[in-house]
This record gives sequence, structure tokens and C-alpha cells, in this order.
Amino acid sequence: MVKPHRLLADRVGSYADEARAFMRRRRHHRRPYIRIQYVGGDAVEIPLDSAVGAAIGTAAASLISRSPAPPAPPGASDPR
Amino acid sequence: MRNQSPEESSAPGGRPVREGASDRQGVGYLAELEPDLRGAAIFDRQGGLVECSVGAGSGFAEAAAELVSRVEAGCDEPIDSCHIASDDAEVFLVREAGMTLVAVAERFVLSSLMTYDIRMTLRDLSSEASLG
Repeated sequence: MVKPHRLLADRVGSYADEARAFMRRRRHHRRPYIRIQYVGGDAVEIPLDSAVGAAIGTAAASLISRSPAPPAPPGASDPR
Repeated sequence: MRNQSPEESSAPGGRPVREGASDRQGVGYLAELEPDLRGAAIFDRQGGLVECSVGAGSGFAEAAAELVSRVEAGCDEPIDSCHIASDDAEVFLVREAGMTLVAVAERFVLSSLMTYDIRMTLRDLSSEASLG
């Protein structure tokens, strides 16, 4: 039989592992990137610091700045 | 070129929505499927603007066309799709049925779902055009 304190330590350890994996995924998702998939099925990631990446990134930033702002969440605009 | 006709109205958030049965197609339909969509433009095979969800004065369609040309210029092969993630939003460029749709969505949108919805939108639009 597993001792109670060992059970507790395992449980806390598994939660910590989950949290660490979540933070790692979050960091990965927050990283800006440009991915292109070709008709042939190949996919490449364009480095942002390359000339092509910079040109695409600038055009994308210009497009984003011209898109409407997202709608505010319900109740956020009402100060009362 | 079909671009924000007079019968269009503005939804909450400033997003123009076409009224009537045609809401079931094109960018109006995509906006229904994807609540995180901020704007979208559709181009035909020759690069002409077919439809745009953002008003003509904003320059959104021109910026989308510029992005398409820069992506094409940077690639040696014909592209199928392009996904650009920045700190503020995500940009999707998808080609299907001879048309290109450029969409801007909120950050952390489900990219595979967004791409699938864009493909379905373009296929619907293409079949509608071929039927009549």
C-alpha cells in the first residue's frame, strides 16, 4: 500500500508537471511565426528576420492595423 | 467586384454584414462560423476583389492584396495556404477552388478549424458561382 504522504507528493508532482507543460506550450504559442504550405504538400516556416519574412510581416501588420477592433465583451462598455 | 453594397448594415463591433440570403455565403457566412474573425477579403483567380467584410475606406482589401503579392513573391512554388501569427492577431491566407481568402482573426484562434472553415466558404462560393 502506498503511504499517504507519498500519494500526496505524487499528486502534487503531477500537477506541477501539467503546469510546466502548459507554460511551455503557452510560450511556444506566443512566439510570432510565418508558416507557408505549398500545393505539393510541403510546409516551411519563414524566419522573421529574413528579407522575405520581414516583407510578409510588414504587410501582415499593415493588414491587422486596418482590421476592425474586436467587439468588447458583454458588459465591458457599460460603466454602471 | 462585390464590395459592401448599400444594403449592408453594421453589426456590433463595426463589422459590416450583408443582409438577406447571401449571408449564407462568403465572408458573412465565415463571420457566422468564426466569432473571432476581425475581417476578411476574397480574391478571384486574377487577383480581383470578389468580396470584403470591411468598408472600402479602411484600405483593408488593398492591404490584403499587398500581403498576397508579397507572399507569392517570396515563394518559389505555388502556395496552398499561409498562416501568420503576430502579437496582436493572426492572419490566414488560404487558396481553394481558384480563389484566395485573406482573413484576420483574434490571437489564439484555433488555426486548423479556421482554415477548414475558410476552405468550406470558398468551396461554397465557387459552387454557387458555377451553378449560376
